[in-house]
Amino acid sequence: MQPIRVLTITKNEDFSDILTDRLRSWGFDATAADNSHEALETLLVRPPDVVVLNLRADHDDDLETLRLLKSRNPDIAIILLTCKGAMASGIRGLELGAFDSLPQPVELGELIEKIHLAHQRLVTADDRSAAT
Amino acid sequence: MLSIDCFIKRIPEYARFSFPLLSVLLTGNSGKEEPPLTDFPVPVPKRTMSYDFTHILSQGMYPALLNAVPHGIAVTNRDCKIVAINQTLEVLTGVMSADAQGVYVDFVLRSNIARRGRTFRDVLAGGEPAVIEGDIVSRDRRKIPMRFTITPLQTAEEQTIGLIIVLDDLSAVVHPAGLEGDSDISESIIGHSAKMREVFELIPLMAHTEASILITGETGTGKDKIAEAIHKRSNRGSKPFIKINCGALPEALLESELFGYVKGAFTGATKDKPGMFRLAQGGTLFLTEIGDMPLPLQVKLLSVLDDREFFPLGGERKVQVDVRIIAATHRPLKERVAQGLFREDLFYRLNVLQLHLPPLRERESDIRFLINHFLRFFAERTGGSVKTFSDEALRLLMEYAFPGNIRELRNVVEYCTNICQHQQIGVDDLPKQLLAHARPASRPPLPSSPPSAPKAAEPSRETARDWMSIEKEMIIDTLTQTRGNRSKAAALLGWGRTTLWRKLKIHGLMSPTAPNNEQG
Amino acid sequence: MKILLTIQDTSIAPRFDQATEVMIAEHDGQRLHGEPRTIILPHRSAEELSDLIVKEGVDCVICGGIEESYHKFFTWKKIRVYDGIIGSHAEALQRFLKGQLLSGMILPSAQDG
Repeated sequence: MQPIRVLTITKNEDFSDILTDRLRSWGFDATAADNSHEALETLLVRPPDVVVLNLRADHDDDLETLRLLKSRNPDIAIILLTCKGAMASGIRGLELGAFDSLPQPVELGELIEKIHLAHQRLVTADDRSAAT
Repeated sequence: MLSIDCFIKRIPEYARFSFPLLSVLLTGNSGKEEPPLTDFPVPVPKRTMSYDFTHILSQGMYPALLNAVPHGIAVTNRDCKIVAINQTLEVLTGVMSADAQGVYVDFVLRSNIARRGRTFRDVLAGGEPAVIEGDIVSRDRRKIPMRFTITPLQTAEEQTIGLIIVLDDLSAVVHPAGLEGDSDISESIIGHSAKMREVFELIPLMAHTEASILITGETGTGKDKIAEAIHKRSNRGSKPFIKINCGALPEALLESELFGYVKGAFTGATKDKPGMFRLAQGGTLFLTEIGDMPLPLQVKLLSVLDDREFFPLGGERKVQVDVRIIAATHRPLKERVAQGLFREDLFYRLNVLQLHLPPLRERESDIRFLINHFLRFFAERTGGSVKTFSDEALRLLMEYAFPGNIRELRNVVEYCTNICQHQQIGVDDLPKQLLAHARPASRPPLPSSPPSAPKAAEPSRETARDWMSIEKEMIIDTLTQTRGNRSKAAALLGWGRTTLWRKLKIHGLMSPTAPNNEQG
Repeated sequence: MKILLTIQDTSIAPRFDQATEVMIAEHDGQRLHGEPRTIILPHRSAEELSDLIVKEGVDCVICGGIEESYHKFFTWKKIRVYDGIIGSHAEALQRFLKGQLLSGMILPSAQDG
């Protein structure tokens, strides 16, 4: 079984370090992108299975990143990390096609569960499309 | 072979002497004409990839060298694990060098600049030293601003084998602990110990009231500095701060100094002379050694405080007084009252707010900071290099009771720096009184024992109690001043009327029969 | 009962106000109940961390260096604090459950890794 490829987009060096470290120790093939450009590049070179996107308060460009990713790769599963007072962005993100969202501070166990769920959905979709 | 020339430039001026020596010892030669150091073994390091110099640094002169510099020093290997730390750092962190060996450096430093180790790895990789300002959390839970100088430690073949991290305590020089914005005070007040922090917390409170303050504490504990700090912080801060020593002058002279005289008041009085009360108009009058004030003058002082006016010597016109009084004494005033040497009514009049300065021996680590501060101070004054104390001399200093407190410590350091002709001050250079009066073993334990949670809970209860009683006294005094006028009292205290009302209730100062209508 | 540890990789984080990861475990004083949860904090903030501790109903904290004001706050809230701990978080937790943990302790695991 190939490890699930996860791309984290957080714009906070420490946060991505810790997140990717922890995900790797849990068996994921995790990498980090600093911004949407890097993320899009990664999408082309090594498309991830699941994306974890940090939605910061008062940063509409984070939602833009979501839109861009989805337009490039409609099947991609995106999990949003929302922060206090930015519920609206979270809801908007779900409308734009995000898989799910988690409030911060994020609990690692929950995030891992969501990543598995998201990946599961992808796999079933792939299988189905392969079967037809 | 090790050579440490590369980072000599980065170490503050006065520490440079130690590193050439370190280099000589480690390499066996200095490239200059230096006398051979036959007293100490010259180690021959093995040529291995992972350089193990823990052993080397614990021998010979290295501990003394590392301890000679009055800054915290940590030496690490390439993995950023500690190889050795010096005494200053041991005191700051509460971790002994032996226990720190092999531990990742930031676990001991507890800095905010490590970036999960990236900062150190960058220096190791880049080979360039880094100077970063940040802070650490010390053993006694204080955040202390620090300058970190991180330098790669290289062999003569320019192979990086580790790091040297020097910690410069910025608080003693740039931000006097607890007194921000008081940079115009001639010498910053140094105090990191728990007791001094309590004092610092009270200063702004005392500054914002007109009440008289009595500062108690043994001689040389810094009563003058604290009085000035309170004055500067108050809204009289831009007005005069006049100090007078009530114990230094004979009665007649003291009277004329305090109240002034008019021309012709006595033989030799050729013109009017304003007294200290007049000179301090609008500002603060600081009366030291108040316990030594002669009784007749105490009477006059009391009436001045009550009536806010007085007659100068030989004068017929009253002078109005608008002065805030701070008094200081090292004598237990209550005892003098009991002995009939000090007036009880004056005592209560002066003792509205009381501030007690702890003696130096109750200020734990402050002694170390003060020693370093004075060493630097006197070096600057003479234009020479900063001297240091030998291990043994330092131990005696730390154990001495300092009955004269900070003033005595300063005198001792000054004496030692003058009398000692070498860089290092040894036991022989210490004044005789120190050796004669070494403290008994009942001293509190050195900072190496870890603090336990219950001990830390105590200071908070103490401070809480003081504040409540201080606030209550402040309110009472202000109301007395305004003769019960609450609006004026509230204005003086800087509170809104409802706030004063609320506090009156809290302190139980509302009399049940008090009329509900506001006065004025 | 709930215990919270501030961590950095496999060790106790050097400083409370610089911690970015915490582990919360439920226990009965002798053994853990279930798996500890790891929470990743979006930014370093002693205030937010204190909030989290109170909200989660934590009754004991194991951490590295902590400032007096926060220590006082927890003590006032009757939350036990073991501060100044150096070592792996697993060992710290173990010692705590055995009743062998003290503030300021440097655990044997500090010299590993």
